[in-house]
Amino acid sequence: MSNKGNDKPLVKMVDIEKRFGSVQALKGVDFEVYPGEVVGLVGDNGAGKSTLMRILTGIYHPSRGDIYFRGEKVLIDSPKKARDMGIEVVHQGFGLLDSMTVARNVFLASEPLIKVGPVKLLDMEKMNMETRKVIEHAGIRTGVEPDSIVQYLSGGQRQAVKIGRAIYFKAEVVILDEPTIALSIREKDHVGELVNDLRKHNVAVIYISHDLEEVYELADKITILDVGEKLAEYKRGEVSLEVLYDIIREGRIPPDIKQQNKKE
Amino acid sequence: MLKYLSKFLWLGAIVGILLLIIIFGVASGGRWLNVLNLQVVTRTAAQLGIVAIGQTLVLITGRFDLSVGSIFGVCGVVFVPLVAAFGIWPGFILALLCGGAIGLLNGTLTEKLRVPSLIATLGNLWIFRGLVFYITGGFANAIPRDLRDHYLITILGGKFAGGWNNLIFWWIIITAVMILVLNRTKFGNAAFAVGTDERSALSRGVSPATVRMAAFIICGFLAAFSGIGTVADMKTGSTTLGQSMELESIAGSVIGGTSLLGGVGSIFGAGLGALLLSFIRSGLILAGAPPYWFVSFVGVVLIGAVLFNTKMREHILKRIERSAL
Ligand SMILES: Nc1ncnc2c1ncn2[C@@H]1O[C@H](COP(=O)(O)OP(=O)(O)OP(=O)(O)O)[C@@H](O)[C@H]1O
Ligand SMILES: [Mg+2]
Repeated sequence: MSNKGNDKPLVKMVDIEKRFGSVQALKGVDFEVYPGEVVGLVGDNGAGKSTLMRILTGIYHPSRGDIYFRGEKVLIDSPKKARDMGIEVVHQGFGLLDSMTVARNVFLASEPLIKVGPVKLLDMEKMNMETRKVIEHAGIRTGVEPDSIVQYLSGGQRQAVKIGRAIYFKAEVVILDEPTIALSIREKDHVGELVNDLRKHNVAVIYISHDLEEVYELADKITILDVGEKLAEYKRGEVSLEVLYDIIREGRIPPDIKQQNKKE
Repeated sequence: MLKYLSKFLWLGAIVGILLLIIIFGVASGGRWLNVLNLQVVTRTAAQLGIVAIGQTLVLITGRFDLSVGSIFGVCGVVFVPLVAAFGIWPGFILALLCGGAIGLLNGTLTEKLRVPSLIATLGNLWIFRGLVFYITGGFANAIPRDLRDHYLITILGGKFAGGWNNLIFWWIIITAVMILVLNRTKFGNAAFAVGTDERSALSRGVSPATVRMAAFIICGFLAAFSGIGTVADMKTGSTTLGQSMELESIAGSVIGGTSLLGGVGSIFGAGLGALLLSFIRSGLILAGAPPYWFVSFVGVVLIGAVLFNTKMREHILKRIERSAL
């Protein structure tokens, strides 16, 4: 379907456990995502969604468990490593530097350089030119320039810049952790369009949100976490939105649904 | 228009400098504006200015360096015995390395051992001031006479074009280089990023610890260089060398538009800030005020500049938001 013949998981996390002192945030979670697949990662507050993704992006180190990338076991021990592997994060709260220009934000830590004698300087011309492309591709229409200060961008424009940047750097996995909090309806729709665009580019997308309707609409697969455990996983259309609500509210799978699941 | 102007963090400093030139010029009946006096003023400005460049860099990354005055002092006074023992060039390089090493110590304490930079560098302020007393034995020590005419001493602390101190020349060069570094290099981008929002910078793969460590080391080198240059100029180093420079350099940076919260700052502004403070110092001398009043004045100016900058910036931002509607 949307997997375009990608039958091997791009990322596979196996039996991931994470303890913070006495708090067990993750209790042996398996998680996988395929190229061109949008996985909705849902669950109540404190379910462990962000923790799982912070492990994937090298911010936290798992207490136990393995991560496979393209079938190979990998050690992701820093955010830089994750970025180098093509794993990008789009987060509502952070990811852009307010006091800096859009161009400097897009290229932070991956700046194009030109050699001037013995020193390497930023290639500002290239940065501005490429940023203009990112802005256009991300569908930002109103008055954002490469040298606009990020502080003056709207919430939707910020998310668009982050997603545009991920596409530009040919990310293979894009993690969106509650990307639409505090966005207007139109801006939310725009983020949705960008997610579909990522899928079209065969990017593996992990979409975390409390807005179940939004997830239900976008995701090819929905993974439900509950207090550090994977409760269930459904392909698009396998359950109804109402049942999804019930599962998350109850923190368990209703008996009749369980039955259905077993038959598979 | 306002949005454009707000980019120039140092506008306030320019206004301040122009005002002081007029006030002192008029109050002294033109006496203050003579070349000899300006040579003195720019010389002290250069000493402070070079230190303020490093301080600004550290501030931009979201840290403070309160030890710059003591680095200035200890590297300045240790230059004398090092030169006497090992010769001019080795002595110079060793003294300079001392500055870098103290910077490394500051960086290690704050970034690896997680001691808040205010505390770590305050500790080093006292530790290395103590060392200054130890090295000088409580007095001043002088560069041996036979070495005073060495070309390196002249390059560092001599004079050019009829009385302008060579440190002024170094100050301008270092300013230009650091402006380039901050605005046109990967490191500069990373420095602003780390100071603006550590978590976001980290998520892009910038290591805040590495960037800040580098900032502390550069700051240490610059404070050392200025201290050595000052001793090369005066031929002696005393126990008070560089005292209260931590306060003055922070004030200079802030006057030039650098934010104490990190992520915002201007090297050019820091230069203007140093110049302004140096003006004030000479103005006080002109007015016949005892020298100890200067530090009190710097305190007042520092607080005033912070208030002015934050209020003005808020005001401008509000205007921009309104005009954007
Ligand atoms: N750095 C940390 N130190 C201690 N506990 C932590 C830390 N990070 C997360 N936790 C705990 O781990 C658990 C899972 O948190 P996590 O942020 O992953 O949840 P979440 O599913 O993202 O929730 P939300 O929907 O509210 O964002 C929570 O109990 C949280 O308090
Ligand atoms: Mg979360």
